[in-house]
Amino acid sequence: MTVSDKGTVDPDMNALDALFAQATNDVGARPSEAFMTRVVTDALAQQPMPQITPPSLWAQITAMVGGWQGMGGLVAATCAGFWIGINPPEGLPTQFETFLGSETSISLLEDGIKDTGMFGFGWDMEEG
Amino acid sequence: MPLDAYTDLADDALLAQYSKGDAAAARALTARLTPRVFGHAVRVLGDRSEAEDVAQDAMMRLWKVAPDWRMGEAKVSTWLYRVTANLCTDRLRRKRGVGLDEVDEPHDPSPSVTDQLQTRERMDALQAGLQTLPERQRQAVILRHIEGLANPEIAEILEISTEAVESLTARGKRALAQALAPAREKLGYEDDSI
Repeated sequence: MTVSDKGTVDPDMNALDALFAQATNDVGARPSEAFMTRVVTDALAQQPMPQITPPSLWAQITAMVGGWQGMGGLVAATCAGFWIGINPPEGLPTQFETFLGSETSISLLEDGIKDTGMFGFGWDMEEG
Repeated sequence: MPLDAYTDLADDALLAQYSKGDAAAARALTARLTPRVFGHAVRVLGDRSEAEDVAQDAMMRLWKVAPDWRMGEAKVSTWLYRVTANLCTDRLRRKRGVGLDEVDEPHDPSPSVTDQLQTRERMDALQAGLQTLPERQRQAVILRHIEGLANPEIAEILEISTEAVESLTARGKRALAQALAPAREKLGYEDDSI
């Protein structure tokens, strides 16, 4: 409701306010569907193309081994192999044993050299 | 991104999406802004065909400026209204002297024939009354009373002070009330509770 400067209700202004309210919702001032389609067509024609960036080297490697799942399996297998290498389980021949083809070892210190009296380089030899 | 998600996005965020090549953002922006731009143009110009030209031109300028738009610096709708207002001013300057009889009125597909006729008559009368106002007053009255914008935003659109907007809208409204007074009873909008 519009009130004039003198504090009285102005019927002309109130009628106009009502008319404005009706005009705000007037469907006659809305664009047609065909026009809206034209604007969308313009928009799509003017639209910058989506920027396609090539995948990084890391992304290419992970994709090569089957994505993150493949990469996870690869890391797990590597860790397991490394652990078995430094701490082989019982019964599994070591690399040294495999190389020699035998599990027999010779202890020179205990049986041979010590008994010959040549061990110790004279620290325990008596003088005179 | 689902289409519903776009309704919560601000205009400038949508514009950024549009610049990244998102086609749904283009459609969402069109649906949101085109009716406002067209509505303003059709009320200022009083001609649907010319309003379509202006609205299409204004929207085209938005699409072109989109890649360079700086987020948070200006309000997209204010910028667009300003472009539309200027395009309307240019058109009106070029076609001075066109009579009210030549004004093309929008069509209203409302259900009741009587209501439809009366609504159409009222809207025609309002449009005819608006056409009697000087161009700047008309723009200010439409933006303030029909588009429902605040005075500071209208000041930004018309590139004048807020005080000048207040003066324009007050004088425009008084002039419009006087222009419509003889037809008030005939149009029957005084006893409606709208």
